This record gives sequence, C-alpha cells and structure tokens, in this order.
Amino acid sequence: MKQSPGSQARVTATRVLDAVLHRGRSLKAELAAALPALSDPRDRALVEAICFAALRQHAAFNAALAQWIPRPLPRRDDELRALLHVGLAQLVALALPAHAAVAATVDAARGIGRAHQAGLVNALLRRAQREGLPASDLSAQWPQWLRTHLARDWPADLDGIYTHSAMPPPLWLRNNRLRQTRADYLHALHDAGLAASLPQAADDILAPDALRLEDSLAVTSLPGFAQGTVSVQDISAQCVAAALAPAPGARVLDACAAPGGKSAHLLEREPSLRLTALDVDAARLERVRETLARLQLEGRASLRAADALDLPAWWDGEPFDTVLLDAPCSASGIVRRQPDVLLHRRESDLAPLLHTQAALLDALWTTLARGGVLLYATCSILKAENQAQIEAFLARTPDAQPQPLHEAFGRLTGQGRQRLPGDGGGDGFFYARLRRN
Amino acid sequence: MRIVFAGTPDFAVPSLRAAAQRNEVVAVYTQPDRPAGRGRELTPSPVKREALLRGIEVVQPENFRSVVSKQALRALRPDLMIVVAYGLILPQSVLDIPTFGCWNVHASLLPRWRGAAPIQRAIQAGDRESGVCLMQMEKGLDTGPVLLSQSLEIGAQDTGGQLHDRLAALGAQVLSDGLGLLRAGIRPAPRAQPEVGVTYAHKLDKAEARLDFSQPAQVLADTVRAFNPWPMAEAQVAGERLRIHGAAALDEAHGMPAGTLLRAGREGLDVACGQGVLRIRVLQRDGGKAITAADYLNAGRDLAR
Repeated sequence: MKQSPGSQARVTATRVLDAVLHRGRSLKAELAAALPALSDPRDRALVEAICFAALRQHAAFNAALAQWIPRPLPRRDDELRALLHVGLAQLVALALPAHAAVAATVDAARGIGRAHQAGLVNALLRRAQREGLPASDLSAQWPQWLRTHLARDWPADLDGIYTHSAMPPPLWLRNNRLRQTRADYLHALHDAGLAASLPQAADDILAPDALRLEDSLAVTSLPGFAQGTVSVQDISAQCVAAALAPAPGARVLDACAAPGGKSAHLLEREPSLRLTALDVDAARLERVRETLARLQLEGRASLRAADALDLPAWWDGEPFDTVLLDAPCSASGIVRRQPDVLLHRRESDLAPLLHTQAALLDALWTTLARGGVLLYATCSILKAENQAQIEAFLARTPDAQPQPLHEAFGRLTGQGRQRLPGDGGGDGFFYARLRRN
Repeated sequence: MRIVFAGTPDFAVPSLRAAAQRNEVVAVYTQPDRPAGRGRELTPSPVKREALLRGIEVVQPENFRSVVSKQALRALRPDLMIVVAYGLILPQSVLDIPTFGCWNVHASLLPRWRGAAPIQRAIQAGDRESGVCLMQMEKGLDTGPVLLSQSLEIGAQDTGGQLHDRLAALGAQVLSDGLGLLRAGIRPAPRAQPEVGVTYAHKLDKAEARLDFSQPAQVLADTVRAFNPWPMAEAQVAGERLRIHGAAALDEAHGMPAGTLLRAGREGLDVACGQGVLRIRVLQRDGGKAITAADYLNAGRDLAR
C-alpha cells in the first residue's frame, strides 16, 4: 500500500514522544538524534512542532483519551498512546487540515507496526475532530509537588504562570552590536519579510540588543545568522549582561557557561573583558567554542572544562572582578521552552539541586576579588532556589552585601528580582547581585 | 479565527489593539455616537475611533432585541466575541452565536466588584489589590466562570485614573494570553466564581462626590483618590465649594465638630472628620484650575485666622 505523504514525519514524532513521555528521555536529545534522518526541512519543522505541542498539552490529551477509551491502554501500548498524542497535537494545537492529519497519522500506525490498531486511531481522531477536547485545567499539566510550591510562592500569579508555560514563546533575538546597530538589523529583518518588534519600554533599558519575532522559524533563515550578526536568546537571559555590567578590562568568570550565549553577549558589549568560560561538561563546552567562533569572538575568552567546585583543577588563584553563576536549577521558569521538564523533574531532585547551588555560591565566592560582584541567576521560579538560597548565603557569608537591581528586572523577592514566565514576553528568571566587601 | 469585538470607552482600546494585532477582528461593535462637549456634537466612542483607524467595520446597534441585529451578527460567522466595557446587555441568544461564546475583560478580581464601576469602587473601599479577569460570559451580571486572571497591587497614592490605565493595559495582556492559548489549540478551563466574597460596584453618581465629613478621614481620602479624575470629590470648606483632587488622612484626635477647618498651611487644609483629619492638598475653585493648598493660601485666602 502506498504511504500518504508526511506519514514518515508522524512516525518520527511518535518515536520521539514515546521516548520522552514513557522512557524519561529528554526532548532536546531525542529531537537532535531523530531529525537529521529526515531530508526535507519542512518535515523536520513539523516533527518539532508536533512534539512541542503534544508535550505542552499531554495532560489534556491523556484526560481525553482516558474518557474516550473504555479501558486504560496497557504499558505495551505506550507507542500507540504516543501516536494518538501526535494525532491530537495536529488536530487541536496545530490546526492542520483534518483530512491530511488523520490520514497521515493512521498511515503512521502501520509505519510503527500497529496496522491492526489503525481503525482505533482513525475513530479516536475523528471523534476529537468532531467534539474537540473536553475542557481541562492548564495546571493539570504540572506535577502536584510543583503546584504546591507555586501555590505557596506565587498565589496571585498562578494563572499567568500556567498560561505562559503552555504557550509557544516568541523568538527573541540578540543583535550583535559589534556588527551593526539594532535599528539596522530591524530593517534587515523587515526587508526579509519578517515582522519584528522591540521589547517593552522598561525592558529596553535592560536588553538594548533584543528583538522579538512573533513566529518561530529556523534560525538559519535569519539574515546574517551564519555570519554571526545575530543570536537567538531569550530576553530574560539577555538581561544578565545588564545586571552584571562588568567594567572594561575586568577579569570575568562565567562559571556554568555552556552553550555560551551569556559569555558571548558580555564580549559583544565589552570586547576588552578578560573572560574565562568554564563548564563541567567538555562536550557542552565545545558548543561555547562554536558559538564564539560563529560570532567571530574566538580567542577573546579562555575556555576551561572543569567542575567549578574543584577550584585547584581550574583556578590560577588570581581573583575575578566579576563572576556569573547561572546555576543549575529546576528549570521551572522555562517550561514553555522545555515542556518535558514537567515530566522529568521529581521532588527528590530539588534537594540535590539546592545543595549544588549553595556549594557553587560558596566556592565561587572565594574566587571573587574584594569589591567584586557575583551575579546569581537561575531559570527557576521556585523561591527555594532563589530568594531562600540567597538569604541563606547572606546569613553565612558576612562579607557578602546584596546590591539592589532596577525594578525593570522583575518583582522584588527578598534580595533579588524575579521574572515570571511571560513577564515582558520573556522566560521565568531570577537575578541576585552580590558584592564582596 | 474570526473575532467580533464589542467595546465603547477608553478602557477597551488596549484590548481592541491586542485583539487586532493579528488581523483577526472582522467587526467592531460599539455604542451609537452620543452628543458630547459644549456643542453637544455627536461624538464617536474611543473604540469606534480606534476601529476606523484600523479600517475595521463598525456596527452600532441601539440594542440586540431585534431579529435583524442578531442576524447581522450571525452573518459575521464569529468564532469568538470579545466584550470590554461595551455598555449593552447581551441576551443569551447573542451569547450563543460565536463558536467559542463571548469573552469579557473585567477590571476586578471576581467575584469582588461585579458591576459598573469596579476600578473606582476598589480604591474607595481601600482595597490593596485589584486585577483583571477574562470571563466566559453568561446571562447575569458578571457571574460567568473565569478563564484567566492577573492581579496587581493598588498603590497607596493610586487614583481612579491611574489604576484605570494600568488595568486597561493589564486587560489587554490577559486577553492576549487567552487568544494566544486559543491559537495554540488550548481552551483555558473555566473556573466557577466562588460563592463568597461577592460585592457589587454600583455606577458612580455625581451626588456621591459630595464629601460628608462625619465619615472617617481614611474613607474620605480613599474616595478622593477613587473619584479622580471623575466625578472628582467636592466639599464645602470655609464657606466655599471646592473640588478636591488630592488629600490624605491624618490619624489625629481633635474633639471638634466634623467639617471644622482646623488648620490651613502650606501642607494643606486640615478638616475635622468623624474620625481623624482630612488634609486637602490639591484643590480647585469654581471656574479655576487645580492648585496646591499653598497656592490657594497665597492667593489671599488667609483661612487660619
């Protein structure tokens, strides 16, 4: 039998989703492994779109399937369940033409060796098309333990957090100011037929290099991307450079540097910095090298692969004027970008993360010169990792003094500032600036 | 998605902009032009002006009782109708026309302050928090289930006008969130409003603007903030009718009859209240413009004697 066009893309999407939903694999890693096998870039984009849409709504899809299928699907039908999610994502979230979406998905049932269940797939997708999904709560997407934290930490902002975490984020760009002005690049985007806008007025002070595209597209189709005139970076991450603002010629450490976006931004703003980009993972450090090479900043930073906690392994003993600690965290602020975070994070992950963050703060503090500044940042919205972490650090570190940040950085929380997902169109992010006396 | 937008005053304009951002608004409903200004000329509503600017079709029925008005709406084949301070009651037969029903952007954290003047009533009541709800409309006054909400703090100095502007912007943001979800294929889940905590925000009445000094000073100070810029609080002070733009409550015992002018200085005119003292800081005489108390005294009103 002839396969309908696009059925291979649905098979690929099903395998990726099955691995993420049922076998604890990371979405990014699975996509990276699966996409190169598809020759057509449109298929690759479709697979990505299906997987993200399905993961943003997996709870609603599961609830619908549970209602429509009389007996729960057994474990051996995990792959079938993933295929149904693929079908629902196309119908409900991506609003693809129903006949094509259903035909290709039913075909894909054969592609994954489930020809005998093709009728079931067809029936369920037709029903979804007819009735739509039963209403479900956006918060159902979140595990209970995270909901408990959020209800305690941000009672008045829960709606916004759940809403923005369910929506595809805008595509934020960072203009490379060494190559052209932002206004020039905005023109270049408009000339290329891409509708771009500037950040809100308050954020513009903090992220003067930022540009916003409403609709996602392949980065390689951005004008000048390969030549290093622009990068992709969320506006909340771009604010880090403004919060740190190292002096010209300063000796700077980026302690968890991969993939290198913040290091590169610091150098674009101030090429005279003496910057050390450190990361524990040598393979990921290679990404930093590639990032800097693309932006023609190679040789501007010294790259070290080492555990930041193991000072003798990497530190020459000369103190830093400025330290950036973009700490490993729950990633609860970037769920819209990494929807699989909600599937994979366990409450038991939190204690080791808190411990690592505290240990990194303590170790890196000793590398900081007197009068120097450390910026603690996370992409988390949990107060345990942010406000409480900094309060505990200040309590045990007499020579640390918190420094106020401009209100445009976000809501005041203890000695730092917090952006919640969607604030100014950005990710959830926390910043605390600490000076060593 | 085909959207019909219904709204009338300034408050609705940011929401209309948010809805029109992706060219989805097929028609704008707004109240018929009304006479306004000294010449009593027929004046289009702020929403109508914005719609014309954007080249969107404008419809201005007197009401929705006629079959014709319902047919006209049905002919637009709306997926969604967005209602923001429209000022007309929509019957159930209208609410049922759009595929996704009607959404309302309401300027309070429901069920607190249902009704006509939620912004001013929140300030007047001394609330510390306000916000915006996106509500799925049903028959009845602001009783529908809430889809999304966002809160903000009411600053101790916020006036009705300032809070109005912040809530109008927040309303546009919450609406845009809702539309973004709908575009992503997610229908935000409706949550029924709690039974407890329902209050009604009655329409502002010019007669209410007259301050009654037998009330506590804090209540009067909140009223002054709430009624700025409209209808603007007013009072008889030292035999003269003054419109009061800014005032503060002083927690001070005085033992004087309410309405007595206790002091007049650069800081303000201090009037005895039922409890505490109201310090009038910015005021306006008939036919004049708003001035500080200091300027008022400099103009020869030596009230202290």
